[in-house]
Amino acid sequence: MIWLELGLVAFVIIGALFAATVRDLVGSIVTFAGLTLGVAIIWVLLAAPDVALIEAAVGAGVTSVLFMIALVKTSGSRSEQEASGSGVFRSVNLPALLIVGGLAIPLGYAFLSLDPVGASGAPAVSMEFDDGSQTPYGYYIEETVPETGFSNSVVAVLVVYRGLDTLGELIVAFSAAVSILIVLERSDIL
Amino acid sequence: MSPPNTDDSTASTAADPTSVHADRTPASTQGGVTESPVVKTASRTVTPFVVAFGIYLTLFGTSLPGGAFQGGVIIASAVTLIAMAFGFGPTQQWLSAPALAGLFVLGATIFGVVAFGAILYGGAVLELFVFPLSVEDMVKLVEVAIAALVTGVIIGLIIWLADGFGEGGESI
Repeated sequence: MIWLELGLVAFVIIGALFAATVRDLVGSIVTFAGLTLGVAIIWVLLAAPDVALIEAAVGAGVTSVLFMIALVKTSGSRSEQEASGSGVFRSVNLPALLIVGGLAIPLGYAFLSLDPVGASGAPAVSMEFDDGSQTPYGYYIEETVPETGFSNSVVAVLVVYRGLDTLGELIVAFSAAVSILIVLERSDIL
Repeated sequence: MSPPNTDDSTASTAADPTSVHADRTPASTQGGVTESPVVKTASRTVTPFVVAFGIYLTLFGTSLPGGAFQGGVIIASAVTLIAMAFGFGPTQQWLSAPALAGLFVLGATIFGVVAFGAILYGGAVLELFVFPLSVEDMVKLVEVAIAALVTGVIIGLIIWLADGFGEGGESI
């Protein structure tokens, strides 16, 4: 099992490097979709199938199509390829690499300071605060299934307990669609 | 509803050498329409199953992995698949734009009515326990609303962005 996980992580990292450096932008988008599927399988292995579904549908599906539309709408793959020389990979931009590396250091530090997956003392699953009162997480873990009768407590938390957050997400999505219509001057729909 | 018939638009796009996109898209995807019958047949066959899976994720999210966001995006991805296979322009004509906008307005309306209707039953905003229906039924209603909104928004984003500016925008 550990070999499957290590293989997936290697696939994702190599895919990310390839997507960042390959000269053909269509190839970059396809690689990005593929590595996102790898990330989705990692979510399944981490026992988060809800997140895996979102990752596969949005990350690999919709985002790739939006990237493809943006590519066709702007430069197109061929002219960009001819303008910037030949070879499979593009030359690495050193300042960009330094900035990304500088961002990777605090992210890596944060990652190493995380509790192990499923650790009982992790903040996300701790049942009580230091003063003995129950945390919201503890309430969700213990009370969601008996109180609502759902066996998938993710949806119960999203809709029943955190409905206001979901309402906010929907307002963001709604605003995005309306903004698109305004920016594109689609007065026939609005 | 059946997928759009693209024979006419394919012919007109291919026969028009002055098309803006003719010089910057590969010939095989000219006008956004793939010429491959394999792609068209495969997307025609797969689409009903994808839509069914999306509805299943939406309605059974309370008891199985899934949920309205996932289901909505997957239903939208089925329409995107049709658009990729048959061209964004024909799909845009096939889908009624006011109906698409109505889909996400409907979703937002249902969610808003449920959210603030709880006040009428003496609860707080979004308190689903106060309705006469069971919590599971209320959550399924909210899930359908979320799925309708997400489906409409995602399809709209892709179809309208691909179509471009104005009412007679140049489609991919």
